[in-house]
Amino acid sequence: MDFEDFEVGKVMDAKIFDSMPSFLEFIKGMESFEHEIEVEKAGIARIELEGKDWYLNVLNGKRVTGVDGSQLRHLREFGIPFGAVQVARFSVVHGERDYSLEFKSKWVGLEYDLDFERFNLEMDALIEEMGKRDRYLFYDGSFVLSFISQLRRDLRGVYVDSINRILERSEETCTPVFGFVERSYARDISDFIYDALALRDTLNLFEYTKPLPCKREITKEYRRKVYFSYLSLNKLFPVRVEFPKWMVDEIDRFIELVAAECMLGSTRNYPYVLERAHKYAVVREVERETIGRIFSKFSSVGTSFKWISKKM
Amino acid sequence: MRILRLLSDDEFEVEGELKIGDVIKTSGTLAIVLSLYHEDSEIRKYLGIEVGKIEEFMPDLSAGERIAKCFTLYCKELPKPGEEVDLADERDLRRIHLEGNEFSIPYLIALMKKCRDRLWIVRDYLDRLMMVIPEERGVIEIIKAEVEYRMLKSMEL
Repeated sequence: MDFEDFEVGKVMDAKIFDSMPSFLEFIKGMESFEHEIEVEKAGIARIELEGKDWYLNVLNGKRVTGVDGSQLRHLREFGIPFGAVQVARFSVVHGERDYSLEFKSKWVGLEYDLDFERFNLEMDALIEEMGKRDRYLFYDGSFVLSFISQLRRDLRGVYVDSINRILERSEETCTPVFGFVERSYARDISDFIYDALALRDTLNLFEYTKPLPCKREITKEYRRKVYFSYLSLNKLFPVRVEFPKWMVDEIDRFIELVAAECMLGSTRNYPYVLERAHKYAVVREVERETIGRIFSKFSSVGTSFKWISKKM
Repeated sequence: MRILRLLSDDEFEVEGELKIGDVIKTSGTLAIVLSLYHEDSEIRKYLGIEVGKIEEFMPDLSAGERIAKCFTLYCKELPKPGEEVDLADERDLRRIHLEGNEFSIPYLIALMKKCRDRLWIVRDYLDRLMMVIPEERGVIEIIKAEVEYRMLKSMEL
């Protein structure tokens, strides 16, 4: 098989595995691409690190909340045309031995979109925390939902409504909310390669780009602007932090808090509250299997033969 | 003590200080503890921070819990993760064995299969049943003798 004219998006008469060498060459080429970025427009700032426990000092006394969700896909194989979504909201008052963990969940019929139901439940869980004093909220993902432009109009509309609700409520209540994207492949400030890759040689550790507004097409449907910064927590890949416009004026303080929360995480690159929210939210494999076993016993139409044949 | 997770429709795990052979109850279940293990501490992932600070800043981290695997003896309703668990008392044991004013141990075969290599759990449990339901002592003694015979047989004496 000849892969000399390898191209992403082109159909090959081969298995994926056979084209791996060509694909790796393509990736290497992408990383060495000469690029131009618009970061100069915004500028770069640096977090002042005072002492080795600087991040504990930043977090001390602050109530930080992380929200993450998971889903149980529709159980068609067992004759159950329903799926479920589950969201964990984990809050901790750092330095005060105080924390709380709450769950939200919902069974969803086949006619509903599980991804959206999960997203909406995550937004609800965040919005409920707004308006209470001194909260810092983390969401595991982006507020710039470019993927919804491919969805049908009504679904796209409800996604935009959810985003508008959280951005507006954050502003009304002055509750900071961060969309944390650990691996961002956005191209908002770089034309040819993704921003994080373009910035990794530009940003030193604990440096971050000053906020820039996201101008992607989908954000024209938002009633509030979303801004973003890239923050370097390691030498390999800066993280992307998104937030509503009203937070821009105090961004130095907010980014310092994001970096401190990441330092508390087990990898020192991902916010502790999101790490814990994810741990609690996930529907574990053993739970999935148990649910499957229970349904296969209770279902009146029996288990799908296609599913059984794949498992054998 | 609380339910940690369901393993199947007749097995689940409980977080708490239990020992093998303990009979526990939830809102709709009675179950016996068949094995124990210790869950890894999550704190070891965060050793870059001194232990005192971990407690102050990450108070939800578990220091590792004792987990009891339980087998269901009686089930009206499946337990739910997070549900409170208590030790069952004599009244609970009498109730499930004397339903309809007739003595029965409907789970016995399943329990013996589950404890094939550790039949002493069943034997000790039957000892307890004899004390709780003395009027059925004769029947339980016959069952216990069969269990002890199987224990000896399995050792190929």
